[in-house]
Amino acid sequence: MSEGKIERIREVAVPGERLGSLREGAAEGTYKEDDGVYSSLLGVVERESERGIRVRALRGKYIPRVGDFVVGKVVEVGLMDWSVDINSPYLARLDSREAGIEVDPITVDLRHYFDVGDYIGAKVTTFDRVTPPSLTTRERGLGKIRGGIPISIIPSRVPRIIGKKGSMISMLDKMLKTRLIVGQNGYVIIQGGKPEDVTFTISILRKIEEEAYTYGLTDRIKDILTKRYGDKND
Amino acid sequence: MTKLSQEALLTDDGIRSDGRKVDEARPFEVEVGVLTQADGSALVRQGKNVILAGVIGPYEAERHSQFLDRGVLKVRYHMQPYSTNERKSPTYSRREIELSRAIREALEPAVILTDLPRTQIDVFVEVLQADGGTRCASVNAASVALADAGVPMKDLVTAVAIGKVRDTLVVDINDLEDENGQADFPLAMMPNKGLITLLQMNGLLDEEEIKRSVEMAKRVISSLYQVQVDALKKKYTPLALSKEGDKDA
Repeated sequence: MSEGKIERIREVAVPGERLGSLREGAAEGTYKEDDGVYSSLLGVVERESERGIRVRALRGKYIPRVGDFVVGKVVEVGLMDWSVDINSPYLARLDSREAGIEVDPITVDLRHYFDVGDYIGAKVTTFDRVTPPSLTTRERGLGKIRGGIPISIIPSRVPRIIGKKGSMISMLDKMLKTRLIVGQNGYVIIQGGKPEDVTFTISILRKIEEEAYTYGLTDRIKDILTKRYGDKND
Repeated sequence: MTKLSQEALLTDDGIRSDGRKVDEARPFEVEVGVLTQADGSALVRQGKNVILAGVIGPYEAERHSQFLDRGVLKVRYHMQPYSTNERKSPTYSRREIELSRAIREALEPAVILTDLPRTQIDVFVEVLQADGGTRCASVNAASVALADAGVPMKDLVTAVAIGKVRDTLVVDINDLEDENGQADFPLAMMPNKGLITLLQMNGLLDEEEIKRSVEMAKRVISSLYQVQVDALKKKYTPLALSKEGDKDA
């Protein structure tokens, strides 16, 4: 099995639960106090020797991280920038220069580029919690997403849709008749395919979301996909 | 309303009006994630209390109410008109405003608000049925709902009210004991830290009684806490375990 390295039984922690001693190290979702490492979230515990103990939230909003690819929805167009909903407590800001447009606000209306309601693929460039997270679309593959159906996934379960070293997403890309654009923030755009392919894709994504913390998920999803579309794509 | 005699609240054999012993808490049940639209939710039954807590957030607060170094926690405690013996006016009363604040202050030390600057978290507590000690049951519901919403917390918060009837301390008082008893002593704690986050007193207790009340409350709280933890874990663990079983079969 591809995931043999992970410990067999996933451990769920609640806030305040002691997870280990200080020398084991504290990563995301934990805090240190006096004698040990405690969970600060309701989530799944992961123990990695190099990074320390970490708790991955079971639910909750997306907290931006620099470098993340996110799918955002434009909610406001300003004179020089856009406000973008990235499924986080904070609205993100996309500056017009970061979209590769040198604008003179008197002559150029930013609505021509991205309008309210448009979905964009972007990267998080800065985030310090005090100022809004900022985005850029000045890279290959970033920018406006044309067409497709948006759905929203619990952000902490996105890693499962991508899988270890992209194993799940590459399988989905190969076997589904739709194309997926997956943002780290939990917004997913489903493009192409017949309506029934789209509904099937949604059901698969929902299943991955719901069973994100189970073992052998990639194999089970593969079975379902093979049953539906046959083995010919392999 | 004339008060019940103290003898009616506690028999010579130490049995209370609802058949419990002095150190026996009411049945306590917690259900997590009962609402799908809320970011987090919990339904708590503590005796005849039925309390629903829903959480929205964290979301970016309005500019005039945001802080650059921390998030804001807001709590609204509200009783349904049908929750009490006599119809309660659905409008927000002075008592509800006060209790909202008491509940918020009981929860605030546990929530790591410094991790969430500029945001706001709203907790809505609806009392569907009231049977004494609703503020404690509300704290129990709200802290589980916050955890369910993925809000970073130092610990859960668990609460219980100790009372005095017929000069005897009793745990987890019900409505009858609250109305007719000699004292009401609600207490909330962060159980893993041993820190008290809410402590109020209505009526009279002497120093010795207060010390004993705190000890009694601690004992009850550790058992209520276990119920909260089990409810949170139950929501997510069985899935992982049952699938594990399938695969081996």
